Amino acid sequence: MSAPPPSVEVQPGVVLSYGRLNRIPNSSVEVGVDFPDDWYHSVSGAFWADVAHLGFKSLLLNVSDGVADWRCKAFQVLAGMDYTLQAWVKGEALRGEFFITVRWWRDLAATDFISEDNIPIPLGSYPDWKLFEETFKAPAEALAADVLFRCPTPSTGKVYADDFALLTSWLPQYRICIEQQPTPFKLTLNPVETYSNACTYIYEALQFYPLTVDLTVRAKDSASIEVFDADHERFLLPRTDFTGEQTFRVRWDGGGVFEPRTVGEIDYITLSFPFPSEKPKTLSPVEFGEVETWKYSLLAFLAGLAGGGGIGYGVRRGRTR
Amino acid sequence: MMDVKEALQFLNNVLWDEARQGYRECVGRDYVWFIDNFVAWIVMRKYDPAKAEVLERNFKSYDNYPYGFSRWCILYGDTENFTQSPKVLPDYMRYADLVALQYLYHWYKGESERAKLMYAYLMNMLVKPANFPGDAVFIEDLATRVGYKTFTDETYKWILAMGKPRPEGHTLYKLALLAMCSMRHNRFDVAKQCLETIGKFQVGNPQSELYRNGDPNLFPENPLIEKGGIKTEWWNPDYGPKPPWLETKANVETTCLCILAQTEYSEGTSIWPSVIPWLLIGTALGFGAGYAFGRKKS
Repeated sequence: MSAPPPSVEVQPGVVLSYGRLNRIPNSSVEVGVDFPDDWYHSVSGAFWADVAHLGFKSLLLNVSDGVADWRCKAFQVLAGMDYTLQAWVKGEALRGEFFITVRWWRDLAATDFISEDNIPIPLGSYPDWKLFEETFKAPAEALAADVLFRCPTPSTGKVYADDFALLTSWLPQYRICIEQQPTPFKLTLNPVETYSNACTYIYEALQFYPLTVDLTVRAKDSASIEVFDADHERFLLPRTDFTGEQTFRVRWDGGGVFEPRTVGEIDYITLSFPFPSEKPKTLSPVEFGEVETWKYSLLAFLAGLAGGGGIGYGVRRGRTR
Repeated sequence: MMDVKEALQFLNNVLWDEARQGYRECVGRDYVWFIDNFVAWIVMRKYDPAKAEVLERNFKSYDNYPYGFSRWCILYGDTENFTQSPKVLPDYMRYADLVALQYLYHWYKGESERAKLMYAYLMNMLVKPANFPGDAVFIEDLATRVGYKTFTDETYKWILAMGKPRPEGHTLYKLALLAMCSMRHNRFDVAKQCLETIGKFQVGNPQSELYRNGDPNLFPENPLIEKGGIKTEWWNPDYGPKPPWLETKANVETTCLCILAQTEYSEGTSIWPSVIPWLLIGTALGFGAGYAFGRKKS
């Protein structure tokens, strides 16, 4: 996997770093009740296993001369963009064919098939988790994709797969330490991840004091927006439908990740901070302290003086006797 | 405060892996990490030079060599090989360990103004939770809660599903690093508070309300198996349920860093180095005066 471009502090308190978006919903297959959310499976041979590369769960194909598959919900992709398909695999592929596959579609409903790209898992034993990855270009007409973990021809084996990813190239993300921000300050946000049908626009923005945020968003047509607060217990802005450009003033009472999420096609979204932070944090250097030992030293000196004096006196008296 | 002798026994009797000639990460995990054994090497150079030699000889055979070297080397003043924290993470000032190591770097380089600022960052992270049983101080940095206020099991599922940074609670190794910086900053009062808290996380320590009888939850059959070791973190129950990935075992890294801090404190607070010269001077002068006085009288 290529390394990200180095992070830089573009101005005090704003760090520009690079991240790759994983387009696959519930990519670590951890979320779900009886089966992982946003994943579909064949009638037989496909299981949600309590074995994991990270977390607690993975997908399992356990087949004996049979076929089986796991398929994720289709998601939006950009035509012509390079995507890196990844999955961690463990187990034993004894006979037949096992693949990690990405299929490209002309429509979001995944009904108009274009083509597919495969990463074959060679037959063999994988006692430890092994990463399989390859980069593919989305076809020119592609609008959506889905990812499969499958054995399409009669196969035998017990193969686990976990932590799927279909990664974009490195995209800029901002991390904001707002307490250090001079105001006014404005930042254009890039979408950083998708989860179910929501698009999250900021990876991590942290502040620790009450603040007012102006969120300006423009939809291509109509869209909806919500802002989820840091502790995931309430919305700072409930889901609101809007058209064109609109600005929402949001009170943000501190501590955590500020996450605007949108549904629908968005031209841009910006954050601005119209008022100074209400309680700016100050960090004046802490001076070196002093360790006082002079009392002990003085005591030792006096004790030495008294003791030495006594001994000296005694020695002299003894010698002159 | 912690008992260094017990901690060393935990390392040598419980975690030492004779076959791999290194320390295992913790009870129940057989990884012999380079980073753990590197910190152990720094400790053993003082307490068991023969073992330190063994560790040094085997560095390259440990897991993940040499990950961690360019960071922990500052613990013994190696400014040449140290990777400065701003290069590790541009907003390093939000992470206590990165700040503490950067403090040590500036201190060893004699850059006192910069060291002062690092210490200010650290002091801003010092908290005293009201709900901890007994008095204690902890470090609360960004990693403690990764930006969240409280947690639910749903949050944890979401964090895992999305591959988000995981909260780590109040870690004890960061407190040990703060203690080291505090002593260099002549703030032995702060170091003392840190080390008193650390003592409360030493398994089997009579001063520890939490672990004086060991850890029957984690090790019901042998609660005192980690006796002497320092637990990795405290999870504040006010945040919500403890994350499923936090095991809260006593491990090599935390125990070794705490030993280093405690050793430095015990040596640093010893008054004898500054007192003995004055005692000798006093004795010499007194002897001379007494001798002279005795001659006059005779």
